[in-house]
Amino acid sequence: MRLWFLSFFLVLFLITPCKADFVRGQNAGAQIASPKYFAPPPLTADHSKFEELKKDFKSPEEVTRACLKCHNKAGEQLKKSLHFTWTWKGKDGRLLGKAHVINNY
Amino acid sequence: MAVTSNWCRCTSCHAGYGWKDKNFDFSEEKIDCLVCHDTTGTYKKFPTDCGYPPLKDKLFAGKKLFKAVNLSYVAQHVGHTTRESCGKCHFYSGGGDGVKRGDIDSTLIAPSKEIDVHMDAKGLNFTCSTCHTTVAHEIDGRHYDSPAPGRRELAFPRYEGHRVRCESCHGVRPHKPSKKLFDWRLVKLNDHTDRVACQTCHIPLYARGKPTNIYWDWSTAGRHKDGKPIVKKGPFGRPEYHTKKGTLKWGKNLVPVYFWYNGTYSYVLPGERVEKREPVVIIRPNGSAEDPEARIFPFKPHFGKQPYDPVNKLLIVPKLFGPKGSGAFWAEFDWKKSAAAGMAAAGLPFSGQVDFIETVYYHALSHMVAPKDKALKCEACHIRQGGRLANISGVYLPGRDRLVELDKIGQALCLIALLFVSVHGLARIIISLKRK
Amino acid sequence: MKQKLYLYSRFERLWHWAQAILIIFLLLTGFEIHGSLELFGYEKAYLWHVYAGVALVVLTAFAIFWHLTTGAWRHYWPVKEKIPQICYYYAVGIFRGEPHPFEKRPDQKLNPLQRLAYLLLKLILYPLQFITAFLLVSYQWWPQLGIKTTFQKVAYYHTAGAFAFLFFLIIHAYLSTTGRPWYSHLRGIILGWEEVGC
Repeated sequence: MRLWFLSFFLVLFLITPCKADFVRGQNAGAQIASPKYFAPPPLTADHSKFEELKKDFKSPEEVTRACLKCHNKAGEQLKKSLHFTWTWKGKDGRLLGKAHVINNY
Repeated sequence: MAVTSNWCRCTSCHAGYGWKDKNFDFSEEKIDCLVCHDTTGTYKKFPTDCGYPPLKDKLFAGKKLFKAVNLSYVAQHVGHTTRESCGKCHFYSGGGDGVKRGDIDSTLIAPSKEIDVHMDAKGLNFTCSTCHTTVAHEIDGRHYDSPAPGRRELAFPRYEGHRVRCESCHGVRPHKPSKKLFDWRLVKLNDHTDRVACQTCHIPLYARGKPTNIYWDWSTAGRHKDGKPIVKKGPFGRPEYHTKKGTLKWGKNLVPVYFWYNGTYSYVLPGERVEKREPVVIIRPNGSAEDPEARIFPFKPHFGKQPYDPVNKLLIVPKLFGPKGSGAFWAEFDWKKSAAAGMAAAGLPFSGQVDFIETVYYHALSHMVAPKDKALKCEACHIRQGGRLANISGVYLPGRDRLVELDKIGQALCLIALLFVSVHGLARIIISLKRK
Repeated sequence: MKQKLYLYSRFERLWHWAQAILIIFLLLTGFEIHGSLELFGYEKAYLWHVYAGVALVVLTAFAIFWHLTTGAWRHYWPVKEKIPQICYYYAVGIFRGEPHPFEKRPDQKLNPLQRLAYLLLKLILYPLQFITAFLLVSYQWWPQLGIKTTFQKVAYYHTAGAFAFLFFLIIHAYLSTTGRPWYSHLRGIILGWEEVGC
């Protein structure tokens, strides 16, 4: 009998539509209230407080160097990315990607 | 048309600095962090500076002012990508707002629910990366011959959290009753998902925000009036004729075309021979009814007419952008010089002759999902003639398909029966009347 | 000599008319799904077709049970005698005012031709439509059910069955008017009582 009840509630639990609105943290406050679904997570750093970024940059490359000083894996990651290489090695060995294909424009 | 030989114009949308020829130095310091991570909206790359932002106030084409970028201010206000930061390049692909894509344009910066149910600024307010899941700068999406990851599963951690496909969140039987546990009426709708992509019904029209280009004839480019370039505005305020570009056609709220699509494309690359069997499909969706990964998908077709070398049978990579004397078409308006310069830069042979060839390419439509009451109704496809899937083969589509012979035999038999009983009945009536 | 006979019980009459309504409705919605008609709109036509189909299956299940338990299935047992005479009657005799060669009795209320026609209907056409309908609805589960066929083929059989039903309906509806007076059969199947004899 008890087993029957247990399985009844188990089934009830399984068929209840899952809604992702459960509370994620006790003190996250405003941060849970506004974002719905997969909103970007809140930032954990205020970049205007970093001394490295308060310089008078002469070239955009200087900014990149400043970024990479802390984000020291981002350079390697981006160097491989399609946004930077504009090249995609096709499965048949041909080079695709924006730098290689043609269109009507 | 290609990036090669037109670097500094095209690479103004490159996430890097200074890609001005094929010998670009792909080193770390040439990466442009700010173009994606700017949250101020003040960081804009200058359209002809090989990816560099303007450091002094600068005019583009003598008209549009690009303000000097305050690098320090932007660097101090970096953050997650936004619809606006991605859109800086992606909304404007093809040379202007909504020109190339038809399913993304600047209305997505703050769209209404009508335009995009997910990005609805007052509702779900998705950013691009909500779906284009990004881990360590690797951004999910269809990459040339590789379908968007995530398969037809749910975005659980064990599926590596890819959320780029509709099914990633909505599942493979996506229509769910809102109040009851089960709704009979949704069973058949859900059955469609094995062969019909979500996009097919839920993106009933494209170019719903801004007009998009649908036809581009380069062969007429270069005309001048009294030695001056011509720009003739047409409907939607977009040029019908432009000396630099040729003859253009635009459209808004357009009906897509549909193909079997397994998430990959086939490309014709420069240097690959094409016969002048018009039109040449330069970017073609792959898939067929026999392919279990393929589903019916909506596409924007784009028709073009572009330079072609009739001797070598190659599509010409013309040099469009550059100073006078470089052979650039936009400076000298001579296709032969432009072709010679462009093909040389691409390392391809050029016979000296320039012909024009009709080309078409297809662009999968995945964005600007309309509210559900705007989704296609059954009759859009389940109709004898003129349905949206009229040219889709390999599936039996009730309402469209039938065995014509069977229908004819069935109708004939029923008509004969009807005729027979009519005659029989009439004879009975006449005889009974006579008897009276 | 005329006599009034109680031929069709309440269940039989209910069954008959429910079937009639369902089949006509299934034909209308079915041919709309097929693309031959435009009446209700495709979505409604589809859903109502399925509902009506399920209703017909349930009704048929009840009817099978009823026929088995009451022994009424014997009315459909095929017999050979008088078939040529009945054919002759419909071709010639009916115009000459001759009597029907078959006399209805409570223990044999269907003439041999009817027996044959209804038996074919029940043994071939109903199962054909039910099985193909089930397949069309369940095509997503064919691999699990071990069914190897194409949707197209099944749809063709289902369409053929629909035409057969329409054909039957035309002949059946007409033959129901061949009593004397013309509405006597109809009155029988509506009220249960039919005047038999001449």
